[in-house]
Amino acid sequence: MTRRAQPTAPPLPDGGAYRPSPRIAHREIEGQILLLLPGESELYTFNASAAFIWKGLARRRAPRRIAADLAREFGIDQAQAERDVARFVRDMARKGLLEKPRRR
Amino acid sequence: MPDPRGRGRTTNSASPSARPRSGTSARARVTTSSRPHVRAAPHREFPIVSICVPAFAGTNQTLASLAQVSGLVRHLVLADARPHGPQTRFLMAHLKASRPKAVIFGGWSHLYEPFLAARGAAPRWMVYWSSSTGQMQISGEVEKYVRVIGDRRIAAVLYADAHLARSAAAQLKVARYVPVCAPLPVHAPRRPPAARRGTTVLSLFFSPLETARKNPFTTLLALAGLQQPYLLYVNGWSRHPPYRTLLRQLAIRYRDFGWMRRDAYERRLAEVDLGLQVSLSESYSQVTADHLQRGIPVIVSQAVPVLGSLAPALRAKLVVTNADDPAALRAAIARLVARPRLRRRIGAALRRQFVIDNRARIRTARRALRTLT
Repeated sequence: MTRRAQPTAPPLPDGGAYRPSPRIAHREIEGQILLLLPGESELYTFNASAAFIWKGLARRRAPRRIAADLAREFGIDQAQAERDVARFVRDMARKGLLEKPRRR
Repeated sequence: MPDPRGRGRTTNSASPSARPRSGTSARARVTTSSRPHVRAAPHREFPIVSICVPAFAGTNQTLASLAQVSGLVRHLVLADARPHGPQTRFLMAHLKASRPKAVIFGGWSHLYEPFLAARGAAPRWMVYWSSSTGQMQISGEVEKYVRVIGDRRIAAVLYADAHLARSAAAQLKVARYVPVCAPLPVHAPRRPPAARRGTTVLSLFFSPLETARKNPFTTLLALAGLQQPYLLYVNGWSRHPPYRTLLRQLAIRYRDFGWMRRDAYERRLAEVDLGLQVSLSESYSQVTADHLQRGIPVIVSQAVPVLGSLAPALRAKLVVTNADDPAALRAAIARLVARPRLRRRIGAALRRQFVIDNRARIRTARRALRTLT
């Protein structure tokens, strides 16, 4: 029997590094985040923890602070929260929902 | 095919994820503020937006196709379960920000009412009506139709059914009717399916909400007496208790894949040798068109207009004159099940004709849409 290796979490991105992409429309309605992606006809929503992270990023909070708040809000340890935030940022950036603002 | 029941849901899991949103199983939380905290970002501006509830599977597919082939339309699915739900409010805010010239609703649902009632500058509201008169009678849609044509806020009705469009304009004495046939994006040319031997895969695909109109009883009786080996593919309707019982009583070999997403539906369609659509009424038949553009022959009733331009010899092999005659249908099925090469030749001819017809339909639709902008 082989043991499955624990997936290594990507490092937590720098503070202020990622923001919702300007190509997507997103709104908070009744506590839920709804998203409309370019070229898609269906609306997307996040689950509670993802919405929490998204709102933090949209409000330009540092990922480390978002992770600390996430840990407190959902009763998980800080390391787990940091892994979740890092993974969320990586996945959403890969899908084009988050992007780094260009520096002038 | 989109799932009419929706599939997304909100969860309280700590693992973050995003998924398509559906109103049917949503457990919305009410917060003290529902004001959007981020303004909608500018999209590419489309002069026309179409909005359709997922329950109208064929209409949704047609509007998505119109968007794809015209480049003038942004198609959006409204999956709220209640008229003022989060998706409705999101889309209303989105329309306010993107300011399209026209909004086309797919069919009519009470979920569209808040859009029409909204204050402020509004686009021209329109309705895409895909049903024929017979469809309306069978599906109980007459009340909805009368409501649509009587609503002065609706600037135009776009029709899939040419007969209804002509009659509505002439008999109802109203000039705000635009006929739009249902186009499909033409796929890149591919080889028609190979002439497979052995068990023939037949399809009888339709929305479970449409059993009255799609006439499966006649088809099942026809299949019950078929001598050749076959396997019937269906997509959810066999779960209705009377049909499940009938399938068992008639010893029909079938597989029910349930309601499928578009990609799964297309994978199953690729395995089909012969389609069956002996409907009692149709304005177009999207499912038949899906078969034809892949070169799969379909045996249809005279009510299916998508085969209207076929050569008489070809029509004779595929069109059943009496949709209530299981024996005639069985004979037509048996002829094509027994001859895979003939099936393949017919499929290739159907596909060629379909591509020509579809180009014309796309031109008509583009012209009609341009007049709306």
